[in-house]
Amino acid sequence: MTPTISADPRQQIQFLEDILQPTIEEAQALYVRSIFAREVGATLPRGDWTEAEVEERVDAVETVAFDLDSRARSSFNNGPSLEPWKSLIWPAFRIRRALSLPNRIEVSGADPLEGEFLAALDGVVANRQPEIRHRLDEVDLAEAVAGLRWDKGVSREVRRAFLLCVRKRKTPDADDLAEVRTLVAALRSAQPQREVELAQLADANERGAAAARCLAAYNALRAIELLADYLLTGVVVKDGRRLTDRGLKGEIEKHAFNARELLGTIDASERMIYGRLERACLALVDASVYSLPLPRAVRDLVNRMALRDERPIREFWFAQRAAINSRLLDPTRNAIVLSLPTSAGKTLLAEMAIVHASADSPGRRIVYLAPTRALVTQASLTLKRDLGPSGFRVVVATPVFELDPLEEELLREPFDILVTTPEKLDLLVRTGHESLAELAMVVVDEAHLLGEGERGARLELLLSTLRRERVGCKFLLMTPFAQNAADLAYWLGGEQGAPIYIDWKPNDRVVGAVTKGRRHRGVTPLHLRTLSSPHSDCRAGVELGIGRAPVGFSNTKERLAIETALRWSSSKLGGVLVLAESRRVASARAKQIGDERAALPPNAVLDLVSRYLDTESGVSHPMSSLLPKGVAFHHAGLSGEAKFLVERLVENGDVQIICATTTLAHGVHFPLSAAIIESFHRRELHHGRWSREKITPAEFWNIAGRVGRTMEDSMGTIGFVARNQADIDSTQRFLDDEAREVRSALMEMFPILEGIEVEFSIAMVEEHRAMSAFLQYVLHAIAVSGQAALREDAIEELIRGSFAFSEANRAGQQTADEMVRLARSYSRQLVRAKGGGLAGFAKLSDGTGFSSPSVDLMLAEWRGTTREIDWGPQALFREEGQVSDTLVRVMDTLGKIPEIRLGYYDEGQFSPERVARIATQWVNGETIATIAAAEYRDDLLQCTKDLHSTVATLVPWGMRGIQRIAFAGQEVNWASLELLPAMVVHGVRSREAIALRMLGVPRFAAEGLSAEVRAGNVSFAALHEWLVNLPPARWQRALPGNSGISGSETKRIWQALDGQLGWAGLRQSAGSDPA
Amino acid sequence: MAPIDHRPWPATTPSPLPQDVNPRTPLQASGHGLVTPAPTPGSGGGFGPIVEHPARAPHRFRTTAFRAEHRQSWDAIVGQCVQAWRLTSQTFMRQLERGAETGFSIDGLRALLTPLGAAELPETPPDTPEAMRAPAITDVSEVIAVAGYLHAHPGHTVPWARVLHKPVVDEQHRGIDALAYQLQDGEALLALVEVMASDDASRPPSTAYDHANQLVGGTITEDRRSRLLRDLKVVHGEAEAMHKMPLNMFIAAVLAPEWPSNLQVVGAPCLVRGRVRLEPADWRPFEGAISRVEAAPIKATIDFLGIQLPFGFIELLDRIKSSASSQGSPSGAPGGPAA
Repeated sequence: MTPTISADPRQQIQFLEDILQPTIEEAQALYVRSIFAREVGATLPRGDWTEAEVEERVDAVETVAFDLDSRARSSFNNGPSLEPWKSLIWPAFRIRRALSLPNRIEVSGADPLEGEFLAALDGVVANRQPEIRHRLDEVDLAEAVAGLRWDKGVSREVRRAFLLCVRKRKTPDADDLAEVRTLVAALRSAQPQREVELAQLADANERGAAAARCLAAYNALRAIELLADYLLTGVVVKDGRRLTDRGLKGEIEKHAFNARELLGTIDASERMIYGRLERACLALVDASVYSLPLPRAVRDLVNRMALRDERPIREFWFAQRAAINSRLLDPTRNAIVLSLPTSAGKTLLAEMAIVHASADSPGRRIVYLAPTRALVTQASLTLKRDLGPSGFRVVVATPVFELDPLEEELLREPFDILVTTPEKLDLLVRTGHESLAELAMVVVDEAHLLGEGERGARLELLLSTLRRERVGCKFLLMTPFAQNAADLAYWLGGEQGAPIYIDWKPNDRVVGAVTKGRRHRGVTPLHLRTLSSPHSDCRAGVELGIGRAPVGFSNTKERLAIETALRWSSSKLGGVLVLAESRRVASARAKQIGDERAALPPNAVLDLVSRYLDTESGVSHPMSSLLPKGVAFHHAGLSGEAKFLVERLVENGDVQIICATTTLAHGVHFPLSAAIIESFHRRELHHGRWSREKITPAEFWNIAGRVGRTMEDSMGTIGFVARNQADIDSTQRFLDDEAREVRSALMEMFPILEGIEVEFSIAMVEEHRAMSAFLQYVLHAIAVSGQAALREDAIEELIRGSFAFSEANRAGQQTADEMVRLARSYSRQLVRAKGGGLAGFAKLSDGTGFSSPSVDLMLAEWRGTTREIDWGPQALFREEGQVSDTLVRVMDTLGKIPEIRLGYYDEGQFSPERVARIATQWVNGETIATIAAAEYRDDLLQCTKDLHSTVATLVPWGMRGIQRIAFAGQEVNWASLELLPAMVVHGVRSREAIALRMLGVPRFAAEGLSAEVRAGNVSFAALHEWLVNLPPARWQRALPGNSGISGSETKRIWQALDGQLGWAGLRQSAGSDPA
Repeated sequence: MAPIDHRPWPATTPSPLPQDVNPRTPLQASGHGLVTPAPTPGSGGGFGPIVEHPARAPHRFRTTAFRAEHRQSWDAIVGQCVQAWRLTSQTFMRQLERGAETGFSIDGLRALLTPLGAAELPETPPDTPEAMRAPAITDVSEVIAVAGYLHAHPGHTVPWARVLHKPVVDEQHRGIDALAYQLQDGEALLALVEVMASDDASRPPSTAYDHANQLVGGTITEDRRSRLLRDLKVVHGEAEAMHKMPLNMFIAAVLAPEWPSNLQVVGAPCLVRGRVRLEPADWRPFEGAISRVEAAPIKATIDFLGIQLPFGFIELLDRIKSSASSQGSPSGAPGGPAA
C-alpha cells in the first residue's frame, strides 16, 4: 500500500521509524562488525551505504525527532506513548556512532571530535549515557586543538566542553567537570589576543560572520559552564542568588536562543546543532543527581555519593530516573515491584528506598533478602559501603536455616539493616524473633525466585505472612523481568501497591551462534552468526569473524567453546564466561582452556588467591594451577569465600575466562564481556541418576543479562556454540521461548490436585515440593491464632492472602476454590489427627521449616528416644573412634525428610554413616583434602560441594529440627545444644571459632584464632574490632603449619571478604610478604 | 494556448484588502510565516488579474502584473525588502549587548559586528546586464515573486521567508528560493518556488533554462532529493513552531522510499520581467520539462507564474530605496511608485 503522511506526531514517528529501520539495521550491523574487527585486528568493514547520504538522512531525521521530542516534553496531552527519543533519536544515535567509527573519520578526514559530538547530542537525549561515557573514555578530550582560527577554535571548544560534561570522568588527577571551568576560563583569558585576528579578515561580511560565530559560541560556552557547575556541585549562583534547576534551564535556554539567533543569518547548520545542544544540555540537567526532588534523607545519601572520591555517582541512569518518577519513594506506596533489567541500576534504587523507609519509620528495621550466600555477602558489602557512611548498621544473618546462640546475640545488638536469605528470615519470623518485631521494609532481590519450586513457594508465603503480621511494613520486590509486576504489586499492596516496569538496558548486546565457517583457500574460519532475539541489538544473519580454526579442528561443541574462549579472552576487554551443563564439565573445560593458554605475566593477587585456595583445601587446589593463566571455574564445588574471590578476580580483570554452571543464575552480580553457551541444559544427579533439563529462559537471561559491562564494554556478546544447522535451529527455538512473567510456584501444584482427596503425607510432600511451604503457611497461622485460624472463613482469608490465590482467581474460579478446598481439607485432617494437641503441635512445628508430615516423622523417630548426653559436642562429633550413633540416626532421618532429601543428589546408595563421618570430620577441622581422600576418592570439588551445599546447610537445619522436636518441653541446655548445628555450618567445633567464622574468618584460621580469643576473653560484641586490630604476627600464629599464605595475607583476605579492603588495596598489598 | 495580452499592464485602482489582513504583519517578526489572506484569486492587492494559459493541465502557466501603485502592497514590499537589508542589524545589535552575560568581553566584537548589522540600504548597481546578479536586485525580485506567488495561491503558507536571508554572500544557501505548503482534507501540497528575474531580451531568457534544470533535474527528479531535504531542514530550523509539524511531515515524505500518495509537489517557477515583457516563449523550458516531471518518482506538477513589473529592476530598486528612506518618518510620504 502506498504510504501517506500526516501531521499527527504519532504517525510521523511510526512513518520515520519504518523508513529508518533498514538504515538502523545496517548501522547496527556495521557497528557490531567494526567492534569485532577491531577486537581481532582485522580491517574495519564498510557499510553497504553511501556515508554522505546516510549522514544527510540521519540529520533530517534528527531535525524532525528533536522537534517532536521537545513537543512531547512540553505537552501533557501526548501521553506516555509518544517517546521520540526512544523511537527516533536512539536509532539516530546508533547510526551516528557507526558513522563516527574511527575508520570512517580517517576516510573522510573530518575532525573526530565532531562525530563524537553529534553522536553524543543524540545519545544524551536518547538516554544512552553509559554507552557514550564508555565511548568517550577512548576519546582525547585533554587539549584544545592549536592552529585553528579563533572563531572555529572557539566553536570546537564548545564541543569539547560539552563532551567533558557528558563524560564526567573523575580520577585522582583530573575531573572532567572541573576541566570545563578551566577550559572556559582559558578562552576568556585568550580572547583579547586571539579575537584580534578576526579583524584582519579582508571581507567585511566574513569578519562579521566570524564575530557572530564567536558570540554564538560564547553563549554556548556560558550555558555549558553553568551546566558543569551544576553537575559538579548542584549549585549554580547567578547575581548572588542560587538558581533552581528550572532557573538553570532558563539560563541554558536563554544562551542557546541567543546563539541560534546570531547564527540564523550566518550558518544554518550550526544554528540547528546549537538547537540540539540546548536540548542535550537540558537532558544532562535532568539526568543530574541534583535535579530530582528527593526526600531529605535520600537527598543526603545521594549528595554524599555524588561527592565521594571513588566512583562518584553524578547522574542517574534513565531507568533510575524513571523509577523515581514512577513514585518509587512515595510514602503512600506500601508495595513496589521494580522490574528493571540487569545492570540498570537497581541497587542504588534499593538503597534510596531503604533510606527513605528508614527515615519514614525511625526505629524499625529493614530486611534485605537475597537468594544465595554469595549475593547476601555481596549485598551486605555494598550496603555497608554505600549506607555505612550515613550511619546505617548492616548485619548479616548466616544464610542457613538455623539460629545459634551467637547469632541470637548478634541480632540483639543494635542494627538497621539485616541482610539474609528468605529461608533465614522465614525462620526468624516463625520463631518470633524480637529483633524483627517491627519492620519498616522488606527488600526482595531477585524476586522472580517466587516462581521457582519449593523456595519460591516459601518466599511467597513468607511475604504473605509478613503482609498479615507486620503492620506498616513496606515491600520492595526487584527483578529483571516481571511483565506481571502489576499483579504482584496488587497482591502485596492492594490499591497502594505499584508496579514499576522499565525496559531499559545500559548497553547493547549481540546474540549469535558460534559456528565453523566454510573452508576457503585452506582456511576454516570461526564466526558468530547473529540470531534473532528480542535481547539482541543486531539483526539476525550477520556473520562476525572470530578467527581461524586451528589445523585439525574437530567440530564439536567442546572445541568450539574452547577455541572461542581462547580468542575472546584476548580480544574482549572483560571476563568471558563459558556456561557448561554440569560442574564436572565446567571444571574440565577450565582445565582444557588452561592447558592451551600461556601463563600470564606474574600477578601477585592471582598468586595470593591460588595459595589461599590451596590452604583452604589443604592440598593443591585444581584451580590454583589455572589462575596463573587467567582461567577459573565457578560452581557449587567452591566454598563461599573462594567464589567471592574468583568473582572479584573476574570483575577486576585478573581472570579472563570463567567456566561455570547455571548456579550463576542466582549466584552472582559480577559483570562479564561475553558468554559462550556450550549448553543451555542442566545436568544433575537425582537419586543417583543423571537427568538433563533445559534451563528456563528466565534463568538464562539472568546469567546472560550480565554480559556487557556498564561503561566498560561497547557491547555484550553471547555466543551459543553450534556444530551444525540443527544446533542453530535448536538454539533459535530456545531464544524464541520467552517467559517473562513471575508465576507463583504453588500454581503448578493446584491444578494437578484438583478434585483429588489428598492425603497429606511424606510421599505427597515428596511429590509436590511446593506443598511443604503451603502446609507450613497454614500451620503457622494456627500456631499464631490457635483455634480461630481453623474457622472456614479464616482459612479462606489466609489463602486469599497468597499470590497463588490471586493468580488462581485470574486463571478461573475453580483453581481458586481448589486452593481453599485443600487448605480446609488439610486443617480438618490436622484436627482429626491432633485433636486438642493441635495448637501445641503447630507451635512445635512452626519454625522448624518442616511440614507437618515431616514433623510427624521426626516425632515418631526421636521423641523419647534420645538423651541430652548423646548431643554433647564430644559425643556427637567424636574426634576418635566410631562415629556417633546419634549422628548416624540424624542423617538417616534427614534422608527421609522431603524438605532436605539428604542423599537425593548423590551417586549410589545413600549412606547415613558416611554423611555422619563427613560431618564429624568437617566439624573436627579436617582439611577438605583429607575428607575428600577418605570419602570422595580424592574428588576435592565434589567433596567441597557436598560440604557447602549439603553438610553445612541442610544438616544443621535438620539437626536443629530434630533437637527441637526431641527435647521439646524438656529442661535441657539449649545454648549448648543449639551450638551444634552452628559447628556444622562453619566446620569448627568451638564457640569462639563459630563467632570468628560468622565474621568471615577463613575456616583454616578460625580454630587457631579462637585460642587467642579465649585467652583475651574477647566478647562477641568486641570481636570484630579485636580482629581489625590484631597484628599480622598473631594471625600468623593461628595458621596451620602447612599454610600457603602468611598471617598478614590471611588478614588482608579477611578484610577483603569483610569489605574493609577494596580489591585495589588487596592487589597493592598482595605479594608484599608471601609465605 | 491562449494569447497573451502584450500591452503594458494597465494601472489599476488599488482594490482594498480584507479588513483583517495586514500584509506586512507576517514579516514583522523574524521568521514568521507568510500566510496570505484570501483575496479573490486573479485580482486585487498589489497584483493584477491572473491570466491563465491553459492546455497543459494539470500543469499551469499563468501570468500577472505587479501593481506598484497599490499603496498597502507597495508598503509591504518595501517593508520586506527593508527587513531583508536590516534584519541582521536588529538581531546582531541586540545579541551583541546580551553577549556581556556570557562572561566574555564584547568590546572586540562590537567593531566587527557593527558593519554587518548596519542599517544601510544597498547600493544600486549600474544599469548593465550584470545588474541582475546584484544581491539587492535579487532580493527585491524574490520579495515580489513570493508576494506574487501567494497572491496566485490563496491559502498557501510560506513558513519562512528565506529569501530575506542574504547578508553573508559566502554563507548564502544555494537552494530553492522559497517553500510554500497547503494542507487540506488530508491532502498536502508542497510548492518549490524558484525565482527568476530577467530583463534578458532573448526568449526564453537563459535563466529559465538554468532554473528549469535546477528545479526539475536538481530537485524534483533527483534520486536522493538532497536539495529538497536540505531546504526543508533549513526552513524547519528557522520556522515558527506552528509550521514545524507540516515541515516534519514533508521531511518524512522526502526520506520515504515511496512517495506518499497524499502529497503533491508543485514546482513553482516565478519569472519576474521588468523592461522586457512576458511572452509564452519565456516559459518554454518549463513546458519542455513536463515529461520529465511526469516521469519523476515523486508526484509533481509545474505551476509557472510570470510577473510583469511596470518598470525595470533598477528603477524598482531605486523606488523601493526611496520609499524605505522615508519610511519611519512620521511626516515622510511613502516612497510609492511615483518617480
